[in-house]
Amino acid sequence: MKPLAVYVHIPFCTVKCGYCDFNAYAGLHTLRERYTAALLREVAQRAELLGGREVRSIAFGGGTPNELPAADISAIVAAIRAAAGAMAAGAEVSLEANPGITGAGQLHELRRGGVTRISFGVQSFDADELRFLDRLHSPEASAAVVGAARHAGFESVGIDLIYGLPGQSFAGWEANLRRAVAAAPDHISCYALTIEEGTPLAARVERGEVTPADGDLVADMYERAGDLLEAAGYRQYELSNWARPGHESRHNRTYWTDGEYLGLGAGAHGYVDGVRYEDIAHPRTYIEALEAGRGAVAAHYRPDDITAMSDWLALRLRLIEGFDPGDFKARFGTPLEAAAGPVIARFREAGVLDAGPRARLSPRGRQLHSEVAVQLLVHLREHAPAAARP
Amino acid sequence: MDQSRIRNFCIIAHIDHGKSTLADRLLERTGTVSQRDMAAQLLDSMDLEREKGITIKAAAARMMYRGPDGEEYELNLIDTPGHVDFAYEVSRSLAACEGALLVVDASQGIEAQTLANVYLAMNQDLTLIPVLNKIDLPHAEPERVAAELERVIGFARDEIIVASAKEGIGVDEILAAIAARIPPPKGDPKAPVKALIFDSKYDAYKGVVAHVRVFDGHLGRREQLRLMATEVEFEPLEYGTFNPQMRPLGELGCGEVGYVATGLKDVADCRVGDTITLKAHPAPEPLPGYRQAKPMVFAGIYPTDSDEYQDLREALAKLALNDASLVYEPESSAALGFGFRCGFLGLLHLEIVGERLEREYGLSLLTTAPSVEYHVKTTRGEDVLVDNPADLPDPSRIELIEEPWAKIDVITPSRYIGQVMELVTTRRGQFLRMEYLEPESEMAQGEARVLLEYDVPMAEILVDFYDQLKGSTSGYASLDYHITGYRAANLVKVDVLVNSIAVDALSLITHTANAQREGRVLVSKLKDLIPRQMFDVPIQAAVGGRIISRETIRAMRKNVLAKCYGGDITRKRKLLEKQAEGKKRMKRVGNVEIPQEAFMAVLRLREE
Repeated sequence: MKPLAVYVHIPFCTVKCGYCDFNAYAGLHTLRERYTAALLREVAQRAELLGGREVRSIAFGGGTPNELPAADISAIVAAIRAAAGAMAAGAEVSLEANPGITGAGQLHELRRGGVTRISFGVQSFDADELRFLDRLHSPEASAAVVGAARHAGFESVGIDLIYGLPGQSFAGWEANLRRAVAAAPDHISCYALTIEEGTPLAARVERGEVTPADGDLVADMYERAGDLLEAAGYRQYELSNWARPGHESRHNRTYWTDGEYLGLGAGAHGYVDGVRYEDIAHPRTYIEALEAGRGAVAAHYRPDDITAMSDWLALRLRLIEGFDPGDFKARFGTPLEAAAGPVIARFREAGVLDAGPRARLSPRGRQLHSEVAVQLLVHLREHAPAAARP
Repeated sequence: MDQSRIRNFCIIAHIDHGKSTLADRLLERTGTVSQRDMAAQLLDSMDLEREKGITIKAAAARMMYRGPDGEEYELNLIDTPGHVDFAYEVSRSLAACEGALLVVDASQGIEAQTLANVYLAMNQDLTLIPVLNKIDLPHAEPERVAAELERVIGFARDEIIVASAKEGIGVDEILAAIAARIPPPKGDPKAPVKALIFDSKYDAYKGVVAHVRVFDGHLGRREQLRLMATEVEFEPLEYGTFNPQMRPLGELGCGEVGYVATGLKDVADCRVGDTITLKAHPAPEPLPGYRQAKPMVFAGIYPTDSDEYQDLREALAKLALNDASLVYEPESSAALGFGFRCGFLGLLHLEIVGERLEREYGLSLLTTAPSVEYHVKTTRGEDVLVDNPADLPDPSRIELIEEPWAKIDVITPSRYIGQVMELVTTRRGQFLRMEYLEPESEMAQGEARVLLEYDVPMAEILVDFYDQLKGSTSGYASLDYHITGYRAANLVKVDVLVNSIAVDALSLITHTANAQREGRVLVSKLKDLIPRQMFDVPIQAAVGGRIISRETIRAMRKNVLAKCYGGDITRKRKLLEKQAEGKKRMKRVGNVEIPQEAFMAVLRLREE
């Protein structure tokens, strides 16, 4: 049976953080019940697809998934399980949560409802930084939440950190890393703060109230994270992700390895049978469509060969293990050398890709992933046989 | 029309002194064009001309005018290019006239280019009618400017007409003065045909349309014509005049202005200044003054996307159809690939051609720094013309380099004399003379206008001289120049190496004494303009293999998207697409991506 990953989007937040440009909304809590019902309808609409697949992972992302009552999460997990042709042994069911999650009760409920893996948006252990990021939780909550999740019995507990904040010092970042290690999670993600167009943070930068961090300092911070986390027993397996052996995210691996996934919920993205699609973004419109018995998909397209190759390469290169060029040929029927030989050679010469049979970024190249992806894209566009062009 | 009632005239004016508006008023007042049909400023028909407020191509219009004496006159207005780049075209337009309106802004006074054109007109014995325009402006000083015209050009006060073309003031007086003061064309209607070409343009249906002034004889029958300089012969398709659109007529009489549709395919066959005569009864000698317009400024034009080379070739060919002074030939650069070396009359001409290629033909272009043409004598006794710094032979093979010099006229209020002197001196200029256009005793301190004349190497005024002149005189100074000849010079080529590869398109030729400083400035500018690459990139400047300056662009540290959220590959791809779009505007030289602005850095070496 073909494998499938399932992503479920929960678009609610108590406060929308100033740096966030995800499909998330504050102040829509009154829609929660109808939203869960709509999600269950979308699962039902997808019954045929799910019935023919082995579901390997379910991931709840947001927004803030724990804004939904644990019972609703359980009901959605149960519905997907029931519709799936099969559940893989030890299937991963992950959920993103706020460290401010209300008490141990909710954690236990989520665990009992089938969530195996939980990841907390800790972001920082510093009160000023948390305030800058509009996060409502305290440094104490950041420090305590891993233990609470362990107590509730999750198989894997992860935390997210954000670095490269305006005004953040190298030492300040190191302190965050040390406290993260001290909390002893199984998985740590480190994301550089990105100033996304159209966010309140971007407006503050525009007005000159906030000066973005120096790029070279941010690069130093990334390198420091790698050194410190590796020394503490976390192995880097993706550009922004470190894990104790065996605790890597299986769900995300599907994204990086061209695997198929069903996206459910407002603004969720999916990739099924070679087609990429996106659900209706606004929760209210999404709910209305499903209540009216219509489908949730707002847009879909089938990537052309060049786009597919470019996506495939860009995503694989996010993995520290890189890829075997044979896998590229198996997927596209074209040897990697023929599709991108000169650029790959250029990357190796510049020391951005490691030498050796596998194609993978060097430690320095890990911070140049976009540059590599862009140059690959430009090369594929310019040198593709005419038939493959969009 | 009876030859005695024909008046041929042009308008001499500085940019923005109101030439086009006045021309429009004349067309309106004579009923040539109804007000309703009047798109503002009819004669400047190219968009670029309207934007820049200048006339690039000459145009013409015939107006019928009943004078105060009750007689009907045929007034032929020849609109002349208004920029010093087109001095030769101006001289041919003037040659087609017996008179000229000298239009001067009553708030500004006479400017250097205008004065140069006035002298040209006087040399050709044109009758000048001075017009003080824009007297409606609150800061107009008609008394002062009239006094200046009296003193500098020698007009009598009662010759000067005060006007406001915008408000329609003085237009009737101007028309009456044209009829009364400008002499009718001389010329013998029975003599063999001589017609002067003062402009030409390409028409898809009629071939090259020559704008002409008939000096002797008349053009009417469909008989073979002959161009005396290019020796091309053709049978005319049509004769006509302009109102200001082309209007076919049976004939063009002696002294008249109009057009000949030649059916020729190439404007280069039909050059400005050439004389048209009959093949069967040719004139014994052509009209004087013909010369082939010679490009003064050269630059490489390359497509940023090498796939557009053919498109660029076609676009240049189409532009050249209408522009005999645009010369181009294929050129290849190690750095930029295939493109064209183009020759222009001047910088404005270069700018116009570049903009038209991009706008009208949708091309994305890279233009290299402009250069003059150097005369090089090699040690083996060969004479080489070098219009591209990259082509300058190795110093060991050079016996002598000569560069073109220009005489420049600057008019400025006297309080800026010091600044102008200093600027010209830093440009290796040599002072010739100075003349007060107004007696200093009658003016407020520092207000009297002064004419300064210098000899300056053309290369020194090519790029930013005019801007700097304007900047150092609060915008008051005006400039005119013309090439006077070649002089030996102590010049060297500065090469630039990017990542150890010599980039030919970044080379520059400069005076030996300036090489060190300009090399250093160029390298530091390039360091700022070339984005960080995936590896360290050394930038070096060298003279004859000796490194004179060096900087290093440190490798890029970070360009990565932190997160690929919730499987949203599409969004991530859009961000990459945006970056890919930016790379399109760069040229890859070796392994280094160089943005277009870097190739222009050579132009701004004096800013520091």
